[in-house]
Amino acid sequence: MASTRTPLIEVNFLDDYNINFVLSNTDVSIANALRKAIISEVPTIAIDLVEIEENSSVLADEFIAHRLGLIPLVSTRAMHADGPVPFRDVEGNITSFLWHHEASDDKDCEIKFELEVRNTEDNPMEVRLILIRLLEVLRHGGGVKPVEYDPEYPVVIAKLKRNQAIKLTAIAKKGVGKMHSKWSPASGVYFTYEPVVTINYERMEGLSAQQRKTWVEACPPGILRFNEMTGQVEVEDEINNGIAFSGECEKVAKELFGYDFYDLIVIKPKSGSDGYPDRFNFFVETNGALDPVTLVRAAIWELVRKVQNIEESLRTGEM
Amino acid sequence: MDDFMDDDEIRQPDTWEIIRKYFDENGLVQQQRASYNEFILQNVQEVIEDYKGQIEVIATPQYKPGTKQDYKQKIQVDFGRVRIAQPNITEVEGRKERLLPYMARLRKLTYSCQLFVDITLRKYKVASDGSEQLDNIDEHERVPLGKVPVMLRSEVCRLFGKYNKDIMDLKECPQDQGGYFVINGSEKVLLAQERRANNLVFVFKKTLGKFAYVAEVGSQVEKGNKPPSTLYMKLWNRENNARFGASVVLTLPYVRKEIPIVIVFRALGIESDREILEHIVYNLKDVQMMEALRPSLDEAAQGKDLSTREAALDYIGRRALGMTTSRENRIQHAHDILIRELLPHIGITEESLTKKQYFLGYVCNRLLACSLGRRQPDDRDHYGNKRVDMAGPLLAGLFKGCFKRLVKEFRKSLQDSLDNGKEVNMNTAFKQDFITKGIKYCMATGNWGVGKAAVAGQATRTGVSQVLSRLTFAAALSHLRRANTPIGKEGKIAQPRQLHNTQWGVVCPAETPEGQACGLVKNLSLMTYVSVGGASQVIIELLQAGGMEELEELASPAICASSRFSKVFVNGVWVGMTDDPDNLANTLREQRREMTIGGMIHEVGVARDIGERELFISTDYGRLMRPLLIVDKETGFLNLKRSNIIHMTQNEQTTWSEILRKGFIEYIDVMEEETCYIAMLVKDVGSNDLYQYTHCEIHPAMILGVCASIIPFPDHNQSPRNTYQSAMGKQAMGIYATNYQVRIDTLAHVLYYPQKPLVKTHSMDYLKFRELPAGQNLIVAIAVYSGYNQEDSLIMSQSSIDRGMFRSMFYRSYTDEQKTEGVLCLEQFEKPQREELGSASSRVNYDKLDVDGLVFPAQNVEDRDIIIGKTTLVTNSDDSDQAQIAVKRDSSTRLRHNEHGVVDQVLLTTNSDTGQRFVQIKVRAVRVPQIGDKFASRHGQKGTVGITYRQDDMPFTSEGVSPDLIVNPHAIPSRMTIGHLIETLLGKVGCLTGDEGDATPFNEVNVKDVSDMLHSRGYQRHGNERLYNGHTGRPLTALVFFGPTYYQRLKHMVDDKIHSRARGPTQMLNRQPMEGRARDGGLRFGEMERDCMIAHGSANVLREKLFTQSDGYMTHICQDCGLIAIANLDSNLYRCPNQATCRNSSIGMIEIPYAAKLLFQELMAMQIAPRLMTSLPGNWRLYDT
Repeated sequence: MASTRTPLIEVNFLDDYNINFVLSNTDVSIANALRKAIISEVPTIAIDLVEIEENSSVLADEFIAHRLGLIPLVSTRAMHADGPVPFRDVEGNITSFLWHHEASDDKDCEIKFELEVRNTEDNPMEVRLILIRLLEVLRHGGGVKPVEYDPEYPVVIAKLKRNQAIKLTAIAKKGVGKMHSKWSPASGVYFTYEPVVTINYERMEGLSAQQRKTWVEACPPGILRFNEMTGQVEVEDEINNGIAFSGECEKVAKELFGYDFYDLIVIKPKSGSDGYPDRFNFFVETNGALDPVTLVRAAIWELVRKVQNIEESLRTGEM
Repeated sequence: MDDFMDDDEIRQPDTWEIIRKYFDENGLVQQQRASYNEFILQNVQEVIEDYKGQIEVIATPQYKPGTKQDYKQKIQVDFGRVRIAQPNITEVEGRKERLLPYMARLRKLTYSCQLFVDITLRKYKVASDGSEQLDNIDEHERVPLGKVPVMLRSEVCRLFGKYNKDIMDLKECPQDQGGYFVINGSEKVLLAQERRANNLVFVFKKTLGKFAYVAEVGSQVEKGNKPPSTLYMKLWNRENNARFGASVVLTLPYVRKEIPIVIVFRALGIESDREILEHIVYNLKDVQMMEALRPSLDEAAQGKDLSTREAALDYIGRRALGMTTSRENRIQHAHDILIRELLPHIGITEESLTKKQYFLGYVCNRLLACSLGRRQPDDRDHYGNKRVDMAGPLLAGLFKGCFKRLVKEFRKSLQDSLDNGKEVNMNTAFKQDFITKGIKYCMATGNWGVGKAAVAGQATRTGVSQVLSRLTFAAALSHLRRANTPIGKEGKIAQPRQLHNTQWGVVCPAETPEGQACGLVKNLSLMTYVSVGGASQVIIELLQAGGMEELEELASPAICASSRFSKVFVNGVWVGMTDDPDNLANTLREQRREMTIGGMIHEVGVARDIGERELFISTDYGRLMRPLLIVDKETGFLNLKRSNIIHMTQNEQTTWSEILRKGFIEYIDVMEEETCYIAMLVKDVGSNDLYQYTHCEIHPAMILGVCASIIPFPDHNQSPRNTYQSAMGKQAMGIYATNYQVRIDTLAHVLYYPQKPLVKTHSMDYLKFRELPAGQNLIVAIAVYSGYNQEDSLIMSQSSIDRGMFRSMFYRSYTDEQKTEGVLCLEQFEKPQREELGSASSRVNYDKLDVDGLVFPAQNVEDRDIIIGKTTLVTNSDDSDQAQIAVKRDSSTRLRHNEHGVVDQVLLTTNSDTGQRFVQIKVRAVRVPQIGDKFASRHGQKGTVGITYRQDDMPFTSEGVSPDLIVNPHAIPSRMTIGHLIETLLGKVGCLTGDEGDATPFNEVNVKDVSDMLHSRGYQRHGNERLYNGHTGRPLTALVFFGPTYYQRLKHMVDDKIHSRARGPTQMLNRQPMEGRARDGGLRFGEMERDCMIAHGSANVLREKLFTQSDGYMTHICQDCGLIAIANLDSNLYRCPNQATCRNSSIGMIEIPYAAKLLFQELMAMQIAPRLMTSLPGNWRLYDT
C-alpha cells in the first residue's frame, strides 16, 4: 500500500538550529526510520583523541577529554562526496572528509586542535575563573570549528586558578551517533501524530451549557475551549499535542457525566485511507554541527543508500 | 484555620529558623566534640587528682655491711596541673613542627597532643620511732605524661575556631565537621556505646529460678575508677523456699551467700523490727505489705539471736569472703563492707549509713510493691534507663586504666631507686608509653580495654573504634552519630532490637542495619544531644535551699507514707523529702531555663512522677536529650513569638545558646519527657483546652537521622523501604569531601557531575547534601519496554551515558614502606633488575618504573604492572661452608588483578618515629555505567542495568523527551513506595516552575495540589504521558508515569565482580585451586553440586571436577608394603625405600588427590602407616560381613 504513495514534506518553520516539517503520505515505519537516521546515522566530526601535555587544573585528564569530545564542531565537511550536500572548499572542489579506517593519509581523516592556557592573573588569593576555548584550528580545517551558539556564553571546559594551566592537542575524527552520541548532530528529534478531534455533538445535546463549561474547565488546557456566546464547545486552534493523546478529555467526560458519555469526544491521529496514521509532524533541533536542512537531507540520503546497498547486494549476489 | 491565633504566634515554617540556628552553632557532630572536650579538659585532670597523696613509697630495709642507717627514706608523690600541648611532631632529625590533620593522614601519623604534668616528690626521713621529717621537695615541672589522640575540631585541635578559608588553606574540607581521630593515618570514629543506667533501681519479674522478683541497682560512684558493683535484692518464690516462703534476701559484694534483708538492716544499725518496717513499708497500717514482709522477719528471728547489730554484723562477716578469724575482725570486716562496698554511690563514709538504710528500704519497698502488683516491673528497654557513652567517657576509661598501670610501674621504680639509694630519674621512672601506646593500640584495633584481658583479647569490647566510612559525606556523618549496643549478636531476644516508644526524637526510627545487628546499632536523630554530665553537689545545695528535708534530719521514715511528701532523688540517690515537689521541680526548671547557674545546668533532667510521689533529678553523662519549644504555663502559648523569629532572621549574631538562654527552648531528657505533654505541631498549641501542653516539638521531621533525612516523603513510604534507603545512601557515590584531591584514601569514588536533588528535604540544608551531593536527577519512565528491565533491572539510555551521566572516577591507593631492621634486613625502593633477583616472576612488568622504583604520575597502568619497585636484601647464612652472599629478593607492589588506571599522584615521604621512607600511590580510573552496574532511587528501590539503548531506540514523548532510565512497574505495588511517585510528580512540577520541590516529611503537601499544578500547565494530572516506541514509532498502548527522579549510583559494579577461571593459581599446601576473585581463584563445586552429579550418575563428570580439575596427583607405591615408593621416571628406577622387607617388590603407579597424599604423610608423622593396596595381598583375606 505504502508503495503506491508519494511521501511529501511541507516545511512549516526553519531557522539556524530548528526545522519543523510535516511528513505526509507515508507510514510510521518510514517516519521512524527517518527519525532514527537523523539521530544516529548522519556523520559528523567530533574530538576523539586528546593528547595532554600539561594539566594542572582540578579536572582529571580523562574528564577534560570527555568534555572536549562533546563540543559540537561544524561538520559540513563530513558529508559524503556523493551525498545531497557535499562539502566544497574555497575553490569549489568537492573535498570529502574520510573515515579514519578508509583514509591513507591523516590529513584526509583527522583535524588537529591545540589548546594552551595558563592563568597568570597576579592577584594570588583570588581564584580566577578562565574560560577555555579551542583557539586554533591547525591545518586542513575546512571550516571545522566549534559551534558558536552564543558568543556571550561560550562553552566552559574548565576553570583555572592562578598558575594552573592546560596544554593539549586534540584530534577530531568522523563518526556517527551510533558509535557515541557526541557524533550525533541532533539534540532533539521527534515527531507527533496530527490529532483529529471529533466532538460528538449529538451527545453534547444532553448537556447544559454549565455542564459543558465544567467539562472544558476540567479538561487539560490546549484541546477545547468554551464559547460563551454560543454556549458551544469548540476545538482549540493550537492543539496541545502532548495531552491530546493522553485520553484525559474522554476520561473526564466519563467521570463527570457517566459512562454513556464515553464518546463525547474522540481524539485520533489523522489517518490515511488504509486507516493508519499518515501525517507526522517532525521537530528537529540540531546542535549546530549541521544546519537542519542538511541534516534531514543527509539522513534521507543515508536511508536511501542503505536501500541501495541491499539492492546492489541482491544484484551482485554478494552481501 | 489559623485565624483565631494571635498574630504574634509562630507558624510551623518559622521553626526552621530555630533549627537553622541550632545547626549553625552545633553542627552535626556536636555530641562527639563536646564529650571529647570534657575528657581532655576536665577528666584527665580529675583522673590524675584521684591519685593525690595515694602514692607513697617507703624504702625497704637493706642489709649493707658496714653502714648503719637510723632512718628510712620515704617518698610521697603529688600530681599538679596537667598541661596540654598543641599537636606537634618531632621529626627524626629532632626538628619539632606543628602537626596538622592532613599531614597525619598523608604520612600515616597519629594526630595526638602531648600531655605534661607537674610532679612534686616529697622526700621524708622516717626515724625508727615512726616520726617523719621532711627532707626536701623535688619539683618536676612539665613531665611528659603521654600522648593522647586529638579529636578533629575539638578544643585542642589545630583547626579549632578556624574559619572556612583558613581551613581550606590547611587542606581540609570546610564541610567536614571533625569528631573523629587520625590514628596511623587512618580516620577513626569512636562509636557511642549504649549501656544500662547506673544507680537506678530496677525491679524485674523472674519466670525461671528460685526467685520471683529481683531488684537490681548498678551502683557506681560519680568520680573515681571503681567498676560498678551491682546489688541484687531478691524475693523468694514461695514454692522454692520451704522454710520461710517469700522472704527477701540481699546479695552483698564480697559476701558469698545471700543475707536476709532484716539482718542487713540490723547490721546497718536499725535494731528494732518496727523501725525496719517503717523503713520499708512506711505506713504500718498497710496490712498487705506488712504481710508480704512477714516471711523476712520470720527468717531473721529463726535460730540464733540476731537482734543486735553486732550479731548481725557477725552473721555477715561469717559469710564474707576469706575471713575466718576472730569475731572482732569479722564484725569490723562486715562493717567495712557495708560502708565501702554496699551501694558506694551513696557514699563510702560512716555518715552515709543513714542514707543507705533509707535507700535499702526503698529498694525493698519497690520490690514488694511490684510483687503485690502495685507497680509494674521496670522496662529494661525504656530509653530513660539507658545511657550512651560517647568518645569522652570511653577515652576517660581507657586513660584511667593506662594511668593506673603507669602509676604501678612508677611506684616500682621509685621503690627500686629508694632501695638502691639512687636518685630518682624522672625520664625513666615515669614512662609515658603506657598512655601513648595503650590508647593508640585500642584506637587502632578497636579492642577497648587495658590490662590482661586486653592482651589476651578476650572479655573486651571490640569494634569500638572503626575506620570512618568515607564513601559519601552522609555516610561519614551518619557514622559519627552511631551508637552500638554491646549485646551478644547471636542472642535472638527481640525486645532490645525493637523500636521503643521512648526512642521518639532521640533515635532514628528508620536507620538501622538489616540482619545481625538490626536494632542494636542505632543512629541518633538530627537534634539529639548527649549530656556530658555535671556534679550533682550543686543541685543538692539548690534543693536544700529550696526546702528539701534531708534524710538525716527526718524524724521517722513514716512520713514517706504521707501523701504530702515526695521523695527526692538525685542521680538515683535518695537525698531527701519535700512537701512541695511541684514548687521544687518548677524552681529547678526555671533555673535551667534561665541558665542562672553556670556549668552544665541546661542539661539537668527533672522528672516528677506524681503518682509515686517521686522527684527524679539527673545530672549524669550519657543521657539522650532533645530540644523542645517551651509552652508558657500561664498563657498556654509558646514562649517563642513571631517577633523573636523575625529578630533572629535579621540578626545573624543571635545564636542558638542565646535562644536557649532566653527560655524559648530547653533540652528534655527521655525520663523527663515521660512527664511532659508535648504538642506535635505548633498549631496544636493553645488550641486544646482539655489538656495543658508543657512543650511543643520544634519539627517532627527532626526525629529522623542523617541518612533518613535525605529521603523525600519518607512519611509516604512503607517503613522498611526507608530503612533500606538509609543503608543504601551510604553506598552511593558523589563527592565525599571537597578536598578529595589532596587526600589519599585507600578507596574512593567521585562522580563526574553530581547534582543537587530537584526534590529536597529541609534537613538537607544542614546535612550539606546540596553542597556535597551523591546522585543525579534522571528522567525516569516507569514502564515495560522490551523486557530488559524485569526483576529489578533497569533500562538505561546509552546516549545519556555517553554524555556523562553517572560517570565516575575511582581512586585506589597503594602504600609501601622501606623497612630497615638492623643490618640483616634492608629494603630499598628501586627498579629491580631481573639479573639481580634470584627468582623473579616473569609475568610482571617493571618497565613503568623510574630509577627510584616508583611509577610516574599520568602513567597508564594495568594488571601486570609493578607500581612500587622494592627489593629486600637477604643475607643467607644457612650454609656455613659457603661465603655469605647477599641476595636481593623482590618485594614489589603490583597493581591489583582485574584493575587498570592512570597514576594520579605519587607521594614519597618519611614515616613517623623511625623516619623510614614511605610511599603512597594513588591510581585513578574512569568508571562508565554499563550493564550490571547498580543504581537506586532514594526509596530503597535498587536495580542493576539490564540493557542500554541509544536515544533513538528509547521511547519519546510528544515533546521529544526520552527517558534516561526505565524502571519496571512491578517494582512499585508490593513495595508501596508512594514517596517515590510523589517525588517524581513534584519533580516534574519543579521542572516546569523552576523551583526545588519541598519533600520534608510531616509537612502538609497535598498530592492534589501538586497534580493540579501539573494539570494547569498542560500535563496529565497524575504525571502520566503518552510515549512512542523508539523502535517502531508507534504509540505505547498504556500511558506511562514519567518524570524526573533523583537516582544514586551505588558502589557495586560488575567490573569489580566479574570473575571466571579455567586454569590458574593453586594453594601451596594442598594444590587445590585458590579461593576468591582477588587471587584468580576457582568457583567452588560444593556438596550440593556434588550431590547432583551423584544423583545423575555422571561419575566421570564428578571425577573430572573433583580430581582432574582440582588436585589430581600421581605417585608410586610399593605394592608389597603399600607405602609411597621412590620413582625416578627419567632413569626408570623404582624401589621401595623400605629395603629391609620390600627388596625387589613391584612398584605401582596410582592417582590420588594431593590432599589424600598430604593426609597420608601427616598420618605417617603420627606413627600411623596408611597402606595403599591396589590388589588384595596374598596373605590378606576379606571377611564376609
